[in-house]
Amino acid sequence: MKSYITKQNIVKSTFFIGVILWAVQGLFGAGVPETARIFGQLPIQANGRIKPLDSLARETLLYFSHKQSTEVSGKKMSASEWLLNVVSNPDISDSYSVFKIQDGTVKDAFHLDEKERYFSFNELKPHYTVLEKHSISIEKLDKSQQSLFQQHILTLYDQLNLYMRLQSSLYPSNVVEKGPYLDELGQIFVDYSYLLNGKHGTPDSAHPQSGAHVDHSGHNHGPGDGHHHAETAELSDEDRKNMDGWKKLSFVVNSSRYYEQMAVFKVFPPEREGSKPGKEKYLNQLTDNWAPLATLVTRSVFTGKENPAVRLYASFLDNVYKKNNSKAIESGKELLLYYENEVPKAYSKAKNEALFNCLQIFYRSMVLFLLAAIGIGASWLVKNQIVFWIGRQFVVVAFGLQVVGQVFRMLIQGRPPVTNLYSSAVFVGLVAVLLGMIMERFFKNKLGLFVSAVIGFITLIVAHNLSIQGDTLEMMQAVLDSNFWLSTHVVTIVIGYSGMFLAGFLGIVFICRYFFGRSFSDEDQRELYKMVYGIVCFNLVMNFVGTVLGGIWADQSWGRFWGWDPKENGALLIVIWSALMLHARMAGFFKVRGFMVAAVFGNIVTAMSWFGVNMLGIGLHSYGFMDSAFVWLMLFCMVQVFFMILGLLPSKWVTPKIR
Amino acid sequence: MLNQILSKVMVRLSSLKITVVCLFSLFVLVFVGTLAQVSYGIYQTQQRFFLSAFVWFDTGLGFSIPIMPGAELIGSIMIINLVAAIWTRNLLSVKKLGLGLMHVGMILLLVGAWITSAAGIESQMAIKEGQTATYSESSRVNELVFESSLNETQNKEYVISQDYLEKNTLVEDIQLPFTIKLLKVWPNAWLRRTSDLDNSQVKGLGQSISVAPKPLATQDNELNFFTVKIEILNKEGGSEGIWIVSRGLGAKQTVIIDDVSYDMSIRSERYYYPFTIKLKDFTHDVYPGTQIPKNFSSLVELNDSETGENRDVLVYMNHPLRYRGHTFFQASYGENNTLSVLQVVKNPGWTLPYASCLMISFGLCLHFLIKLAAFSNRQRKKVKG
Repeated sequence: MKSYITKQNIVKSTFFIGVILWAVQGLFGAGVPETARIFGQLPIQANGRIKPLDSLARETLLYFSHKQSTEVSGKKMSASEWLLNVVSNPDISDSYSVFKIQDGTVKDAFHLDEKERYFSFNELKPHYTVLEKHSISIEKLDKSQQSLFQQHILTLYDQLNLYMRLQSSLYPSNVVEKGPYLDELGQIFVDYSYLLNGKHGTPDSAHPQSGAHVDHSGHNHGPGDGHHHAETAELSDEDRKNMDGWKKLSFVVNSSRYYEQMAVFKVFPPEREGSKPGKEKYLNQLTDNWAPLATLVTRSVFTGKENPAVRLYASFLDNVYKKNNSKAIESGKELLLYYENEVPKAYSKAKNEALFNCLQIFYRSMVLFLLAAIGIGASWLVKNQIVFWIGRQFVVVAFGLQVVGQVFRMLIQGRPPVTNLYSSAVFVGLVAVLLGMIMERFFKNKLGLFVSAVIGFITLIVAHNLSIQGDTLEMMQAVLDSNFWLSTHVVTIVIGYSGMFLAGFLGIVFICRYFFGRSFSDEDQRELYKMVYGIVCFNLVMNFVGTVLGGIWADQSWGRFWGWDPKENGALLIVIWSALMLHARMAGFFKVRGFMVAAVFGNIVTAMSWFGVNMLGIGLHSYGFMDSAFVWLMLFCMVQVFFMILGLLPSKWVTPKIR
Repeated sequence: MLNQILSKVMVRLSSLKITVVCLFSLFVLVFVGTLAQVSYGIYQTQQRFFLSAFVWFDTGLGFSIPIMPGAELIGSIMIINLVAAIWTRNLLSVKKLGLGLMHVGMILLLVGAWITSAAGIESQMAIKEGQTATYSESSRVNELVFESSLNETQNKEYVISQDYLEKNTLVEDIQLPFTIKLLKVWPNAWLRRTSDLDNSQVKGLGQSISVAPKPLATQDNELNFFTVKIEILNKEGGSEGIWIVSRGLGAKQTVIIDDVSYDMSIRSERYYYPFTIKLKDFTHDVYPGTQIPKNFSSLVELNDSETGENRDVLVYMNHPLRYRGHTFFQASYGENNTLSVLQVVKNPGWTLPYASCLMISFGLCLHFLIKLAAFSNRQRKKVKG
């Protein structure tokens, strides 16, 4: 009997386990302070959905600096830790260089250091008024008329505003210590709550919202009793105290209104009116409108009942500010426990998402795909089986990770895999890798694996850049809100995209081997041709069925099966191109090489219908249209054109080699 | 002999080269037709590229030349090519069931598309909360209408469609108590109020208005000011005067013929229904704290005096009301969520795409699955051997 415990197998499995451990290191919470970890798990409501603070921190930091973490005096700082500092210690966070400015003209305009790429709020603050003045006039222009410079100005203005709003999203940014601030407000209730009961002071039914009450408090004077200042002079002590109380209360109301508007996120669901024990305390903790902290604070001033979350947040932030680490952790845990008891659904949703965030699954599989592509590519050069084996393990682990991430995402969102452009990029990669692995099983020529690693890597890079635009788990627009159609039409179409890219990249491999390869036998050529042909057939089925399902969806929701709208046309172009390839092959227009060149052109068609049509709406003639995504798309197309031209060169130009 | 010629012709018509050329032309047409939407808007592009035999290019010298085949021409050639291919390649045999299904399905799909473009009608029904609608309006096409009141509650309307007005120079009918001579028609026009115009022969509002042609609207929210200059003749042939009637003129103009007064105007083409729809309530939900729409819905009361049907229906996203050959979709809203706009679609060919696509999809799957099975068998043998 053959023993499996060989030296080689031990080395191999150790390596495999090592890769997996590296991939899931986020589980052990490495590199994130405990306070930030707790803070990141707290559930909030923002962009219309419940999420952990960690998600908000990441998407904000991505928006500011295009990265999910920042660097402070040479040390890496996680997004949660950054946001925790923003809300607990504004003075320090103002000095963090998180605003990325690439546009040289913007730097020039504000006399910023040319060589720097990241700037702090402190550096940008002096220019705020100028920025505001410009932005207001730019905003009046139509988006298509704005120059690139103007759009960058607008973005920077928006970023600074968002930053300032974040600072005051929990407690006003000028409140250094939150506990004493709450005590002070609590004292107002103790001193003046009688005003609100209407038993003292004014006999008029008192409403703090109405500023008119201050004037009414002079009710014991007859009408037309001289001038106003004469009246105040005659006020009794009690009247004066009442007036003082009304002033304080109206100040609380006004500032609360202001901070409610400022708050980027909301921290707690409102309790149901007259809730009784045994009945559901909150209407719907996931879909109802939550309240910002400022509202809860004001409510406690007027009712004397303080929401425990308010005090817990205050002591947590204060302890973080004072660097009482152990106390901060203690109050943070208490706060989490409070959420767990009061709103368990929202709590667990946020907790899961925070875990998903810190795993950074898609980032890690991106790295593995890159290593895999390098490994498999190198195995051809050095002709070493071990190198190929390593590359294959990387693909397997990366694919496994991607599946886990995809399922995780679907569970968190309760949606099919593709819900927006970001998730379509992730899914295209996933399917392409799967198809490539199936190809490898059939042909065992390493090509399927190599191409899937390359596509997996590129699509995840694309996904990362798309995630900069905001929340990747955003809520669905009404018209898209149909899990049935999302899971049928959208998924099929996206599978079709994957197939197109797989065929196209195999086409590139063919062309490269044809021109640069040392030994590309006729048999190898035929094999590669068969692979591409098979995938093109698969693509025709998937893209046709997907497009038809889209037509049926359109017929169900708008009453027309087909409307020649850009997105529909994009899908149709892919179908036509696949059909054309198959018919032209039969007609004899395309021989082996022509078919490969056509497959490479399929890359352009697919990229255009995937991203190109989304850019159409912005207007072809504007500078805004030349945003970075468009530049990348054009670059991608140009690379494809290069390979197509290469593929069309006469074969006699090919250096003679052993056939 | 005849048989031989026929089969020769069929072989020629079924040529794969024709197929490839058609597919390529369609590819180019769809691509250009997508880019063209940026400057011409979706409606005009549809008309120019996809609902015509040729795409015409205005040379600016007073005539147009066709620059590429439109979808109607390509579609027609494809139908012929497909029929011939099915005939000559014997695609209807059991052996080629998959291929046969997908190609027959393709013919059905093209025929269905033709029926839809020829007979499908789309219009909008805007209803305010609490109000009842009896008709819907076209968003693109207009009509000339003459209204005369029969009594205090009833009106009689004489309606002439834009299409008829654009294609004829004289409107004459037994039912029409007068004759209309069309002096000039502007599909879209600039209207300008001026005093120094030699318009003395024009009666009514047109006297002080100068009309200049304007390119057709490209954006969905723009209106075409369809304008006509007409002379009205009484039944004896005598002229009653010349008028300028336009979509851009808010007020109606009056003409009196044989002691009956008619209010004339141009309005959106109307489609009347034998049933009424009353909007009871419109709701528009957003996700908490955002402007992202979560749901739009209209609660309507359907009332059909002919069939006696009376029921409440909730029309919302992906859930239209289908009734008597018409489908009502939630399309838009306005006026602080008190006005709901329903898209009304009448499409007699709506089942064809379903049937044809089912056939094609099934045929594709069948054909390629059989091929895949054969291939994987071969491959397995090869790996073993």
